[in-house]
Amino acid sequence: MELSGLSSPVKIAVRGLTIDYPGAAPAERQRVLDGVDIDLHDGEFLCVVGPSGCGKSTLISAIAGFLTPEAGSISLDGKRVQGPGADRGVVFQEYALLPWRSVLDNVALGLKIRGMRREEREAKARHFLELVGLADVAAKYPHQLSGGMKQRAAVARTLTSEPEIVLMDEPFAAIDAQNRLILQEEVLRLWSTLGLTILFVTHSVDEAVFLGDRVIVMAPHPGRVASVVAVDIPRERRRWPAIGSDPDFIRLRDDVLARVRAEHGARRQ
Amino acid sequence: MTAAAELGTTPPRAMRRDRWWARAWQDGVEPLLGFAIVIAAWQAGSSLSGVPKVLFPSPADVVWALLDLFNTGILVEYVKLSLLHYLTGVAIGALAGVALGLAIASNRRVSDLLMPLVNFTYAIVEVAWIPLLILWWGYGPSIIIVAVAYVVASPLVHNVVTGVLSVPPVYGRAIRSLGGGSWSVLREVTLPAILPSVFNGVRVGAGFGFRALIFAEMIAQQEGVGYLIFTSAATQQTARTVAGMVVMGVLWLFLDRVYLRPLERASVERWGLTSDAGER
Ligand SMILES: Nc1ncnc2c1ncn2[C@@H]1O[C@H](COP(=O)(O)OP(=O)(O)OP(=O)(O)O)[C@@H](O)[C@H]1O
Ligand SMILES: [Mg+2]
Repeated sequence: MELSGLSSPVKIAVRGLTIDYPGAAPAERQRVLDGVDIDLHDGEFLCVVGPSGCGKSTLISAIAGFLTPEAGSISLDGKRVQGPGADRGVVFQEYALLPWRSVLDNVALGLKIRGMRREEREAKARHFLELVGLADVAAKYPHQLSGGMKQRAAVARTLTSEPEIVLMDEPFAAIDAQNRLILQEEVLRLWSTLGLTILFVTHSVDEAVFLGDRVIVMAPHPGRVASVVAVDIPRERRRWPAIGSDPDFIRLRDDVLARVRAEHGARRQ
Repeated sequence: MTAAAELGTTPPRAMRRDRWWARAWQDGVEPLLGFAIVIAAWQAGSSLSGVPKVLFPSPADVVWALLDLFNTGILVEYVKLSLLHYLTGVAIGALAGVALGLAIASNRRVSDLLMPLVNFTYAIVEVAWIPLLILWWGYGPSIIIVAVAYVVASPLVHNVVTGVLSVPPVYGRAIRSLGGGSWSVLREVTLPAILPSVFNGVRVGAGFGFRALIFAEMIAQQEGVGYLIFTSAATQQTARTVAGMVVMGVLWLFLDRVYLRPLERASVERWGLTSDAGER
């Protein structure tokens, strides 16, 4: 299934991942992911799309370590993942910034947990706030920020801990169309300047094709990998709004869109 | 709070100008007006009705009784003791309630074990314990403190449990993905998140606790404001009893204004918890 042609080593290897959610009764037990295989390469930007309910968030939760697989395994640099850890940073759709802490304290939180001294961790947090363009709101509280600013702060918080990989679950879903494009460009800039490895879940096929080196299309009931599409558009062409009329972009987007549609409402057997 | 605030975003012009005397009237005079009317009616009633002082002392009698109590030093002594026992009881009750609530909310098995017990004791009013405690410990401050703590703790347990259960799980996940363990989740998420419910619970409990204080002092203590009220009536010093009641009311207003309300406001409003803590 791998069409990667990526030469870098595999960072995250998902093998035969199978996840059930327990229902109210044992009979209602639901298989949400069934034998999912995914390789996330070092330095790769990998996107996941698929119809609602196909298990994209479940996949992110499993890699983050919040769920215990029924079968299969997840490993990071060859070491089996057991439970959550700072090596896998997560950016949540709902931001998850602590309302009782200032933006600066939120961004420095991972370093505080690690026991870093206050001046040191605040200096580092300020550096990352600057990277996401939030230097001037460091002292504010999350409820005083717009949705886009909250998500920038959440990204800064995750990056400040310098995780091996970054998991993002529809981070821009609640953000208006205009700011969403800006945030997409910024996340690409951060990815290339910091050399990040990102697994990015989204509903939007445009977003996935704009961002990804590859796009994984998932099928529902139970969730599995339907296909993998390599996005061979050079990075320097990935700019809004120009890319919207790029023939390669349109071709790939239509291809992925057709694959997602084919899976919509699909059911195995 | 003020009339202008209640009227919403566009107060009428006269109010928006906010003359100092208009504000002084609203904040200083209006709240006292109710008291003034009651006191005037009371004075008129007691001097016109001809009921003996022992049964119906006038406001003036009560003021004299207060002055007398103050001069002999009893008032200050009793108020100090009542406050000390009360605040100790509230503090112990708050800590116990939070600890018990956290234990219950954190673990299914602990919850199954303790929740029925908590509900059962919730139904037993503190007054019912006092005779038993007197039997065990004799008269004294420990009974007062326990009675207040009990009244504060039992509703608080419920507040803490529902508070913990309504914390969005995503916060805990965020902490764990930043490398934190259970201790970090407790410190960074659970405790701050339940603070509003704790304040709320303590405030409600503190009101009931105050009644428990006075009541416990009446039957299980030989000092304090409750004792003053009770013993003065028994010895026909009715003006003193009423003086004790006035002191009780003033004490409560003081506690509520000076401690409870500002405490609540300070944290809850700054974090914007009133508006978007419920956000997913
Ligand atoms: N905590 C849970 N308990 C039981 N079932 C769950 C739970 N969370 C999700 N599910 C079920 O698992 C399936 C996959 O859910 P998941 O949230 O992973 O989908 P998704 O692809 O992220 O959907 P969306 O695109 O709408 O976010 C759904 O059918 C959902 O009903
Ligand atoms: Mg989802």
